[in-house]
Amino acid sequence: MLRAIKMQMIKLKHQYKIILAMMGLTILMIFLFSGGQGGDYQEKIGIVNQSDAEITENFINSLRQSQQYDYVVATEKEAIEKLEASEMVAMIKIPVTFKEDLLLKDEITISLTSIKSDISMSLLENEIKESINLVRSSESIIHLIDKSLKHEVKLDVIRENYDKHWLYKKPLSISEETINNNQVRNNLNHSIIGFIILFVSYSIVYGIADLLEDIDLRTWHRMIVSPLGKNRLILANSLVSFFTGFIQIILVFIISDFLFNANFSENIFQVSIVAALYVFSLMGIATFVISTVNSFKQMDALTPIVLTSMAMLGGCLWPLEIVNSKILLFLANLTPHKWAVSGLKKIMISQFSLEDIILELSVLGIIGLVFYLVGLYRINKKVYY
Amino acid sequence: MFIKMIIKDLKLVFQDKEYLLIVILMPIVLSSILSFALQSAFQSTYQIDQFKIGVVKEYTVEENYEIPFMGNIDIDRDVLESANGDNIFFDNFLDQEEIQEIMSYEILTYDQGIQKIKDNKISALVVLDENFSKDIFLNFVSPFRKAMNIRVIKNESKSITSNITYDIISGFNTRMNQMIISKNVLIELAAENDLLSSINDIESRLTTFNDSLENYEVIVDEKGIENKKTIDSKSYYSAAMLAMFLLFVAGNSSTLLLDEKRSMTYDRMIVSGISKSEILMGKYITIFLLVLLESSVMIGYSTYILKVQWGSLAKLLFVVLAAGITVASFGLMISIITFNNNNRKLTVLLNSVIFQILAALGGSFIPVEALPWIMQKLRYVPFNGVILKLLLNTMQGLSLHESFFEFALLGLNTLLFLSISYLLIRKEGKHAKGH
Repeated sequence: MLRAIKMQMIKLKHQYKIILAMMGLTILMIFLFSGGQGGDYQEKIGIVNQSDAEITENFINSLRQSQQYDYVVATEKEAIEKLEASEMVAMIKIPVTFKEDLLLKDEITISLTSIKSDISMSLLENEIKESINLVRSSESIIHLIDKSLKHEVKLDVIRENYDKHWLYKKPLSISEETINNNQVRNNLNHSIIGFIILFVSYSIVYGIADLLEDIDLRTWHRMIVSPLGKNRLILANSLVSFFTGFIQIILVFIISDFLFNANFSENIFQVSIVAALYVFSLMGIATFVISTVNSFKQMDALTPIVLTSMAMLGGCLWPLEIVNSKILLFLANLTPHKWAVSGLKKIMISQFSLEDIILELSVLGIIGLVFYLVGLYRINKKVYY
Repeated sequence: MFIKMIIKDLKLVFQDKEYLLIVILMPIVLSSILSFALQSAFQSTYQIDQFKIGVVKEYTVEENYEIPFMGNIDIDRDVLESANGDNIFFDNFLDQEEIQEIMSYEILTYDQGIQKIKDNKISALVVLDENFSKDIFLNFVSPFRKAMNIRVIKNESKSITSNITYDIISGFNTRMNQMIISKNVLIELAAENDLLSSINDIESRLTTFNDSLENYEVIVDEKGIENKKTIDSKSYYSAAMLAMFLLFVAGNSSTLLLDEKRSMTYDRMIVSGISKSEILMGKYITIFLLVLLESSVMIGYSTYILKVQWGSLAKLLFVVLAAGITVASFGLMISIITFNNNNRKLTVLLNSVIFQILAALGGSFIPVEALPWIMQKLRYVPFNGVILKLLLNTMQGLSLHESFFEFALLGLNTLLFLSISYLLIRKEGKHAKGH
């Protein structure tokens, strides 16, 4: 058995460059996708102001409080050019009649030109509506006070007082927290977790797939007739792949923590447990896949597709909340990616303990065990030519 | 002879039925999954199912609250009863039909709420502190300002719905603040200007104000850029998956030359008088034909099953041919590298990580418009990103002239891959002669 492990280690020695390259590229991707170290990317929205009324400034200022979008005032020509070059995602046109529509009519129409039609446009639409309602209601209140004071106080004085109260004397405030009173983090952690889970999966699976290379080169046939036997060979391969994958994933977490301040090292023990079970589940899946294909070439064609689909289904690239289909949400439960992302998010973002993620850990363990045993059984039964 | 070689290469590819099934069928499966999974996220009228939140009431509601320094003032009993925070928050706000359609709530203790977040059963927990009801009452009825805070504890696993909860509660805060501030400013200015006696009918004015807010309609008229079609999820992911899987066609073809070498057929072809360039041309055309096959299957499937509109057929054909030339050049280049290195390490690295990265950079996973600016700039670096842009341009109805930049980029990529291939072959030739 030790000899089989030694043989795998020697093979690994020849592949360390590939493993390092995979790790380096994973970290590069995390960096790029999280928008550098800030992770504070805002989509640009152009504002074309056709009205010269002072109140439009209040509307624009209200929009600029947004944390979601970066609002930029532009001419219509500039805005359209930037839309076409994808430098802006949408353009809002404030009509000439903005003030009249806002204060004297029962409705207002704002034109929104966008280059896409998705959830972020829905959020933008809500933000526009809220800002208009805020500006309109503030203006209505000022006129209400004016009426109540029988027009004895100048409108500017009322407005000044109202603005002062609004800025400094709001009685009600709202605070957002996570479960352990942490300040809510941005989505940097989600991107990092998702990308690490996605990218390390390839090296883990390809590590085990080395066995197929032996089958292709007929060395497998020679080894199984040696005293080592099939099971020991597979076990040795699995053990080495497991530890390589585990060390790799932990290293990526540690480097990401160092580079992006991603809060992994604070919870390194819990992160390690989830990572170990995730690597184990992938090892199980890889063993099963190996048992179903006939050559490295088939495995090579199948692996990226299976792993990418699993990562997409499992919520590595986007939160599963945006998926409405019940079938796809059910399928997501069958992927180890979903449980690994969920477990890591709960530990790192919400600061849950291991007890709180017992479901995630159990599912990862079960997926690994079931696939590994079925794979092992099938490989034992299979005759390779 | 040359045609026979291409036929032989195609036969070899088609012989491996499982491999072919994987390469042709999987993109179809994947694009279908993605199209349906993200269908709603690709609609601006995004609808989310009703979700649940928890509310912690740390206060107790009393029949009457004492107002400091105003003990002797006679206030309407109805006003006292209705102005407490409990009434305002639940009866006038959370129980409204519009809010109930979006989210339902249950009253919980703090510990129950935290447990429900841990069990992923609620999207957020709203904590109203022990003085909430009384403080709202004081803010409404007295001239004093009592600072108060509503805590929203978010469930990070339900980031979208927890943010919606925050926005809704924030909306409540805004409305409350406006009403209370309007009262405070009115009293302050009236006191400063000796007008306290003339203030009357505030309640009916506030009601009118509230009604005017509720009846006012903001219409957002959404449209796309003139002459450009908006892309839905099915269209986007059909094009995105096609662009991504063309990389895999090249990657999976990268062992074509190595396989010839390992099975000794390469040497046999050379001694039978077939030139190296003929062998390479054969591989090039094989990869090119595989690209056409993959594209035809994907486009056919998405057109007839997913009802995707790819735009003008002639323009689409032009784009596919241009893409085929570039992908085949790339495939040839990596075939030569694999052949020269005599191992599959490059293929493994390409299929496992590099193609995923190129696919991500090119926008095959997430549309680049939704990504940081650096990613938007990088979309043109990998040729699959350029191919995706060309396919999207065709769908949006842009003319070939308007896609000149993308075609030029593809041309440059092709030139680069072919030049590298030429240099590598020459290097290998010198190396072989040396031996």
